[in-house]
Order: sequence, then C-alpha cells, then structure tokens
Amino acid sequence: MISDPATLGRQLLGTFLEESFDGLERLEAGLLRLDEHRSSELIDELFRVVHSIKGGAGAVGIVELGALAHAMESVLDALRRGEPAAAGTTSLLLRGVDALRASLRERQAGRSTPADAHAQLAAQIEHCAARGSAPSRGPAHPDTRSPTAAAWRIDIAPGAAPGAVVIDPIKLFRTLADLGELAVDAELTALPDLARFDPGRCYLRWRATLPGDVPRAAIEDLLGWVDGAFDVTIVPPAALAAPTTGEPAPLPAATGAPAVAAGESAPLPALTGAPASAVASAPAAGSIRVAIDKIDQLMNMVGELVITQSMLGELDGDGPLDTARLARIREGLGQLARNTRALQDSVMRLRSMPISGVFNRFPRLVRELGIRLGKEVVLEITGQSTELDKTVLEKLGDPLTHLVRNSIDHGIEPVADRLAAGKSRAGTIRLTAEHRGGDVVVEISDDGRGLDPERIATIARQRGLIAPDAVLDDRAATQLVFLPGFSTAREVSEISGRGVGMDVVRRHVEELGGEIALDSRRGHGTRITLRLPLTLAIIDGQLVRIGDRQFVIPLLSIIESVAVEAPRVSQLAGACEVYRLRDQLIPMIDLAGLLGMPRAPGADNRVMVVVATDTGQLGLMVDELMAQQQVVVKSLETNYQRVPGLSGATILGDGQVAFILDVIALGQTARAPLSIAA
Amino acid sequence: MLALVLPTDLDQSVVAELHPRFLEALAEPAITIDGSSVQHADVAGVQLLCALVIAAERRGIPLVWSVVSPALVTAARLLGVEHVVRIAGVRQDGLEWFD
Repeated sequence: MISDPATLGRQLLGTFLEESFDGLERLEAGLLRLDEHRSSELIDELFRVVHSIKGGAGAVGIVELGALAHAMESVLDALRRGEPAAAGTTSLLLRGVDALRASLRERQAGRSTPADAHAQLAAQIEHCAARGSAPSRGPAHPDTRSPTAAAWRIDIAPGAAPGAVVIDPIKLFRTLADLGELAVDAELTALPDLARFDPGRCYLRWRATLPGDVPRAAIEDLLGWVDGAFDVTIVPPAALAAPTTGEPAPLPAATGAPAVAAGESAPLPALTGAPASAVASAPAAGSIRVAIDKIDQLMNMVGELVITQSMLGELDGDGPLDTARLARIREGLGQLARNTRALQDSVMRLRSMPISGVFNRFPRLVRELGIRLGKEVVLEITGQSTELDKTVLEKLGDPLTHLVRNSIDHGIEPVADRLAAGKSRAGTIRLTAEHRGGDVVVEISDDGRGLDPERIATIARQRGLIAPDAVLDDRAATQLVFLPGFSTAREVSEISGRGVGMDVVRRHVEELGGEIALDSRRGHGTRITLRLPLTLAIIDGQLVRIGDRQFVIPLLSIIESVAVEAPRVSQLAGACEVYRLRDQLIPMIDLAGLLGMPRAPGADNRVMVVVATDTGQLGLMVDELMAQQQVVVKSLETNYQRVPGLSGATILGDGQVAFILDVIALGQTARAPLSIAA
Repeated sequence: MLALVLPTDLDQSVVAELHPRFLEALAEPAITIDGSSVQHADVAGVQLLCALVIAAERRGIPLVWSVVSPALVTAARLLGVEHVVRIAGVRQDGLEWFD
C-alpha cells in the first residue's frame, strides 16, 4: 500500500478529495435532517458516505481519518440497526464532519494532520455508539467554560509596546468563535483600582480554549494578523494532555512576557500585513464538475461549427467571386456568428453552478447559531438549483453568511419576545434564489423584529453621518445602515474575509456587479434583496479613449456621460477638481494623469463619464466615448500582475488590448469627499 | 442614587471622558447603570466598566443595572467578563444590527 501521499498520483488524491468534499456536504445536509426525518434510506446513505470516505482515505494513505471515520460509521451502523440515538449524537457527528473536512483541507494544501489529532473526538463518538448515549459535553452545551485536555489553549496578552490597543480582542474572539466552541476566561489581576486606572492601557489578558479538532492552521490564520498588538501563545491539545493534573496552567504573568510552554508552542508567524485567508475558504478552484448534458450541448455546438467551417471551406476554391458565391459566403459568416454566440453561451453554462453550493452551508449555521443564542429558527430555502457563474458564487458566500447571521442574531427575537408579540415560537428565515431577466435575485428575509428607523437615524446623527436636523422617512432611515462608518466592526472583515457591517456587504455585492436593497418593517421583519449578474467573465462595457489607448468602463457602473464645460469645473481647496452637475459637485479624476499617459492634443473637448462608486459618484475624464460592446474579461493577476485601478483586460476585435477600469478602486483612490451637495 | 447612562460607543474614544464620571459616581450611595444605548463596545470601554463594578463592590456601594443592550452583553461575553460586570440576566433592550 502506498503510504506517502507525495508519491501518490495527484489525480487519484485529487479525485478522492473532490468526492470526499462532496460526500461531506451530503453528510452534513443529511445529519441536519436526521433529527426530524429519520428514515432508513437516509441513515443508509449517510453510512455509505462515511464508509466511502473511510475506504478511500485508507486507499490513498490518509491514515489520520481512519479512527474517526470508523467511529462515525459505528454510530450510523447502530442507528441503522434501529438503536435509539441520544440527544447530542447529531452534534457529535457534525463535529466529526468538521474534523474530517479540516483534515482533508490540510491534505489538499499539501500538509497532514497528526495521526492522533482526532483521537479524542473519535473516542467520544465511539463511546456514543457503544452506549447509545451521547457524552455529556458537546457543542449543544455552548457555555462549557473549563478547558479540557482535548482543547487548544490560546493565551492572549496585550503586546509589550505601551499605548492604546489597536486591535480589539472582541473582534479576535468573535472570529475565533467561528472555528468552534470557544470559551474565554479573562484575567483581571492587573486591573488597578478605578482611582489608579489609566484609560490608555489594556490591563486584561485572556485564556481561550477551542476544541482540539480545530486545525492549527485555522487558528494561526486568524491570529496571525494581530502581529505585535498582542502576545499570543498557542498550546496544542497534545501538549496540554501530557501534564494534565486537572488544574489548568496559570495564565501568563500579568506584568512579564507571555508564558510559552517549553517546546510545545511557538509564537505566531508574523504576517507582513497580508490579510489572513478565510479559514473555511473553499477548496482550491482547480476544477468544476459539469453535468453531462452541458458537455453534450457543447459537442453539438462544436459539430455545428465544423459544418459551418466546411461550408465556408468549400467556397474557398477557385472560380469567380460572383454574386451567388458572395451570398453564400455571407450566409456562412452569419451562421458562424450564430454558432459562436451559441458556443459562448454553452461555455458560460459550463461555468455555471447551482447556488445550493452556497445555500447548503446555512442549515448548519442556523442550527448552531440558534442553539447558541437560545432561539428557535426555521430556515426555508427555495430555488437552490438556480445557477450562477462560479466566480460570482464563490464571492457570494461571505456576504450571504453575514446577512443570515444578522437575521438570526439581531432579526429573530428570543422565544419569549416572539410569544409576547403574538408571533409563533420559532422565527423563520427564508432564502430564495431565482432568475429575473438577465440577473439572479437572491433574497434573505425574516419575520423578526425588523429595523428601528428612529434608532438608526439617531445613531447616524450621533456619528455625524447625517445632518442633526435631517428629516428622514422610515425607508430612508433604514437605508442608512449601508453607510460606511455606520457599522462598527469593519477591521475584522477586511482581514478575515468575513463580511462584517452592512457597508462591507454592499461593497462585496457591488464588486460583483450586483445591487443590494433592504426593506424592513418594525416588528414584522426584514427583507434583503441581492441582484447579481449571471457572470463576471463577460461584461457589457463602454469603450473610451484616453490619449491613444482604449479602455473599458463597465456599463453597469455608468450613470451618465457629459461633455465637459470648463466653467463648471472648480478646484476645491486641498482636494481634487469637482464638476458642478445640476445640484451636485462631482469629484473628477483625470485618468490620463492618473495612468501616467500623455494628454492628447486637442484635449479640451473632453467627456466626463459619471460612475457610481461605493463612496458616491465620481467623474472620470476621458478623451472620447467610443462603442459599447460585450467584452471578455481576462485576469491581469493570472496573465501579468495585479494593477491598482484596473480590474482586468480584454482583447478587442482589432487585436488591441484594452484595460478594464476598476471603478470601485478608483473611487477609493479619490477618497476625498466624493459627493458633496452643492 | 446616581443613574449612569452609558454612551452609544463605549470605546476608546470615550474612556478618558468617562473615567472621571465613574470616579464621581463612587461618591454616591448607590449606582444604577443604563446600558441600553450601547451599540459598540471595545476592550477599553469594557475594562473601565469592570474597574467601576469592582471598585463599587470594594467600597460597598450597591450597583445595579436597569437595562443593557445586546451589543454590550455580547462584548462582555466575548471578553469573558460577563460575570465580572454582572450583567447576566439583566433585561436586554436595544438594537445590535450593525455589529
């Protein structure tokens, strides 16, 4: 048997991983149905999935999964035989799914988890299978606070550098809690009496514990960015298990350097400001699964193309280029155009994937967050087979997760409040997706408490986002949550990749070329609607000329174009030029200057293209508006390198390369007050 | 009895201003805290609150919460000081949509 995965055929391992990720997704979805719809078919299917993973893992030499998969198989086998399942079995199996997935991701990244990484969890699950009852400790008991030998211990103390804390530990713990059941104990011995309290110092330090099956890389990814602001010590479960005497080790000394368990833990690798990757990021985008009917359709298209090509080929012979022959050439070219368009559509369909890939994560999220918050939540999903471009789909996960989390956390009321308001015990969250026109519309709605417009307006006034005497109707007030500066926790989102704050959600959606709308009725619920393009690979673009080069501005972001009249241009002190357009002053960006291009002769008759950015309207100065056309987006990162201000490139009909302007990034470049009421 | 109303942002930006007010509060026979307005709390604000609660306890000054916001409860819970500031079980009111 091959035991070293490095020597395995990459293809074999890749296939195993791909099938296992699929299997784990089915397993997770099935386990979530298990408590309510237990059927022998369902249990059989879950058993088969675990069995396949166990067998496959053994075959490709991934030994660390064996014991855990075997334990899970034993529990499912017991259920198959009709033995009763104690409360907590499902949660334990779900933890098993997480652990298997984490190990497979490590393998995918070319690393491996220690052979006994899941020993504790496997033993718990085995115990469950043997006794037909769940152990007392599991994720259904979120308030368990004592560290156990099977837990990661993370000691966090303020960094040595004096002064204010730059990174808020609250955000740190919030992201750590996403990895698993987190317990945090604060140490307050350094906290002086209020009379001697220095408001500029951080006196607290913490000991956090996470389940032992959380991969180290996941913890390091999240903690790597604290880089100097805190002293962080990570002690792995094995290191804790050895000297365990029942008493947890003391916290790091309050005044000294952080304690480091000898030889067992290491300081975090310093990051150079690079954002940490999202822990649960999807497996590397190396391949997609394609339904056979799509391949068949593609084959048909190629067949049509071959026929057209041979027809045109026949016309290429000797002989006079008479009217009849020209007509046939013209007919052939028309056919070629139709075939090419159809082929393009077929290829685009290849890239389309059902939105269920994103929706499938939510039953678990809703279940666990509901348990943690003590709320009863029913999730209704429709339209999960709606297809979207793979790229759009991959980028949709974080904003949607944030919106669903918001609904559970802040929308759905606790049971007592719901009953008092005459509502059903359980709140409902509806997730729907459907094609409307050329877009995909995704809606997240809940029947919770809704937003309080008055309170939102008050906060916006306090934060200086609206004038103190501004009068807003309810609808306008609720839209204020999208304003940058309204949310309070954006730093983490920038780093962890998990959207936090509605302005960040909106920006993510707009970066996808989509739109977001919010509709909320106090006491009745909230509905958020996302309108997304089917694909990012081909966009409708406006060609513009700057100097002697052509650029593309995405048509979706253009509001209008105006011929520039010199008297309407003025210079704001200390800021950029602005253009007075009707009742607004629009900041202007001279693209030629920004891109370091020579100003074209006769550049007086220039055009300003007004675009919408996430910080307001922006005027892009160009020399000439040219045609509008669909363009195929080519990645600069893949073919060259990332260039600020450009989102990609395309090849025009004449073979010239045209760059596609990144309107959102340009808006940030000109982060002067972007839209000032005149 | 003094009623302390905590600000919307219980964070670093206000601790220097709140500190003397908290010290003054310790001169009162009893303290009631209204935390319903807190929309955002950070470690600087929460540790000041811890210092107040502990100081009041040491001086034998009764300190009660009238109401707290979910944002404050979440911040205290995440920082592991829910039991220190004694807000478990206090009536919650407020909006925490944006955090």
